[in-house]
Amino acid sequence: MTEATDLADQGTLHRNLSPGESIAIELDADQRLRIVDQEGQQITNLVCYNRHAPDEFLETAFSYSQIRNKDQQLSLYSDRGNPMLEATEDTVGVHNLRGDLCTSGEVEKRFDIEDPPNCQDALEDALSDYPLPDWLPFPAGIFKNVEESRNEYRMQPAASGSGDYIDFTSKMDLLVGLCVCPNEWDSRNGFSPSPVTVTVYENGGEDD
Amino acid sequence: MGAATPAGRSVQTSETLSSGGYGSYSVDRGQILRIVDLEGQQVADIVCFDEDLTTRYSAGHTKLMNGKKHASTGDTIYSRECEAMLTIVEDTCGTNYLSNSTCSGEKNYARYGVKNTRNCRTNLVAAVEDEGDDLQRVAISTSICTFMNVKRNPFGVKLNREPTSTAGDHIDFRALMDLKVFISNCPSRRNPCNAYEPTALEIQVHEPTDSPTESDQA
Repeated sequence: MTEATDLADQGTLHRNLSPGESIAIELDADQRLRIVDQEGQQITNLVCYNRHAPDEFLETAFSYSQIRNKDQQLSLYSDRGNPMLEATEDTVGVHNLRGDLCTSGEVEKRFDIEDPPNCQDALEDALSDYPLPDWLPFPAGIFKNVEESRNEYRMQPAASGSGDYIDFTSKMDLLVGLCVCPNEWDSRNGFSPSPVTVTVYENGGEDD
Repeated sequence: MGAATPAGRSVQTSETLSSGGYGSYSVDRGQILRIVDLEGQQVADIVCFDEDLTTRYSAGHTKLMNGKKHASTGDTIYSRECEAMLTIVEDTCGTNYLSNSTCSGEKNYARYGVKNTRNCRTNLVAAVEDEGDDLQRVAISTSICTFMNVKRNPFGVKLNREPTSTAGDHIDFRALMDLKVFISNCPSRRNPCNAYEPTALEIQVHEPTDSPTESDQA
C-alpha cells in the first residue's frame, strides 16, 4: 500500500478517513497509533496481524478474557496470546471486543439495502496486497458501544465525543487494518457516520 | 445415560466423544445435531461452516440478529453475512457461551505456565485435518461453547464458572443449511469450565421422520 510505503520512508503518517474508508498501516514495534474521532459517535473497526507471520492475528475473544479490571487500558492480544497493541491514552474507555464488523449481507438482510458500503469489503480491499488468511479476524470495535446488560445485545451510539481519541503502542511489527464504519442504518454511529483521523508517531516523539 | 429421542426423529448417528476427544460431523439441512453432556459439567467447543467451508458462524452477528447476548431455545446461529445456519430447538441446561476463545497450547501457557497441554485449538485443527479439509487458524479461533458458564464480576471481568449442566443435559440444533461441524470435547483440567475434570460427551445426528404427531400438530 502507498500508505505503508510513506510510513516506512517518513516514519509518520497522518490521514483523514471518511466513513467507509479503510487503510492498511505497517506499524513497527514501539510506534504509536492514534485514532481520533473528529465529530463524535464514530466506530473505527481495527484488525491486525503479525507482519512477519500473518497467521498470527488479533483475537478479540482472548483479549476480552485477559481483562482483569474494567478500568484498565485496552490491550489487544494475538491468537497465540502475545500482546499486539496496548492503549497508552484513551479518552473514552468504551470499546467492543465481542462483536463483528458490518458486512454487505448483514446490511442487505437487516435494512434491505443493496450493495451497501461495509467494513468487511473495505478492510479486505485495504489489505488485499498482503498474503493474509482468508477470513478477517473479528475486529476490535474502537469506541463501539453495545448494551449487554442482562441478556440484551443492543447497539448504542459510539461512546466517543468530538475530538476523543485512543493511542496505542505497538508491541510487535504489525500490519493494522482500520475502517471507519459506514453504517448509517442503526444507532452504532449515531445514524450519521463521520470522519476519523489516524496518525502514526514514533514513540517519544511529538504527539501534540 | 443420554437422553430420550423425541417423537418424529430417528437417530442417524451417535458417537461418544471421550474426555478430551474431537470429531467432525456433516449435518444436512433439517437434521438435528444433539450434544449430550453424559456425566455433567462438560463444555463442547463447536465451530460450524457451510459444506463448502466458505461461510462461518459469527458470534457478533448471532447476538445482533437475536438481540441477545446469549443463545438458548428458539435462538438462531448466524453467519457473518447473517445467513441463518442453525436454530436451537431444545436446551435443557440453558447456559451457553457464544464467543469463546478456544483454548490453545500458547494461551494455556500464558494462563497457567504449563507447556504442551491438551487443548481445543489442537483438537479442532486435528478434526479439520482428519477430514482432509483446509481451514486456517483464524477460522477456528472462536467457538460456540455449549454448557459453558461465564459470568462477569462486578468489575466487568469475565469469569469462567463450573457448568450447571448435569448428566443427560443436552442441546439440539436444527441445521438450516447443509453444515460441517467440528467439535472439541474441551480437555482443560486447569479451568472451572469443565469443573476441573473433563468427561465424555455424546454427539448425535437426528433425522426427522414423518411423524403423525407432528403432522397433527401442524
